[in-house]
Amino acid sequence: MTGRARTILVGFDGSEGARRALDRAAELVGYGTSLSVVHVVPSGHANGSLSLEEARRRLNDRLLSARTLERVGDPADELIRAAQELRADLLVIGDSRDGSVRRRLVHDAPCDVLVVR
Amino acid sequence: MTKILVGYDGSDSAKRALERAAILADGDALTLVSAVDLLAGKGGFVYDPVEKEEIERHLHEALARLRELGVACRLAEGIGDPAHVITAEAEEIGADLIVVGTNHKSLLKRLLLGSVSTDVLHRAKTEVLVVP
Repeated sequence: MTGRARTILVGFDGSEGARRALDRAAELVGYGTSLSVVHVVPSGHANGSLSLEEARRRLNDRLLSARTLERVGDPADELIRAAQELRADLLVIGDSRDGSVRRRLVHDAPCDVLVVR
Repeated sequence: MTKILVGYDGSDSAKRALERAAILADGDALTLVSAVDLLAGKGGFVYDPVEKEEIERHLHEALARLRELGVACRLAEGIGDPAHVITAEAEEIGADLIVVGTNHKSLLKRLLLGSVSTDVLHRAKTEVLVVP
């Protein structure tokens, strides 16, 4: 194991796909791994802290905790920025994200991207 | 047991994808898939024999690397659109995970044809791990 903990980042928007992504990320958490969950509220939308609350509950059920962040802006931009800032090793996203967001994440994320079905 | 399939074209990101898949294999055999794309030629579709040779050379390098890592592997070579070949093979073997690199080797091809990783994501029914 190298010095730095491995960081897994999940993009969570409360959708069914995001739930599967969160569950999958939770399975991947192990010794020396830290988990972060980001919820991006698209600019101009109401605040989405309910989503993060749900993510925390879901992880609690598995006796896991995670750092949670809420960002406002373009989902792809903000997820990529969060991955950079946290120096994420892996970004886990659900399948339900719209195609253009997914495409940009896959091409521009600074880390591995796992797309969960 | 997890069945992992790696789409491999010898590019740097494909090499990184291979390393990642080898870690995830956890003792199980990987399936390594390569495709030689078809070009429209006189009298039908043809493939470039030079490209085919190159891909075979890449596959041998990949096999040597997996041997070093002690990871077993089976090869699947296909002719045609790489994303199609990769996802068809994934369905055939009932793969749980497809691992691909972000970049197709040639920028020109990427601009003309789009990216293999995006097409794989679009077609695949399994989880896909994309490695930059």
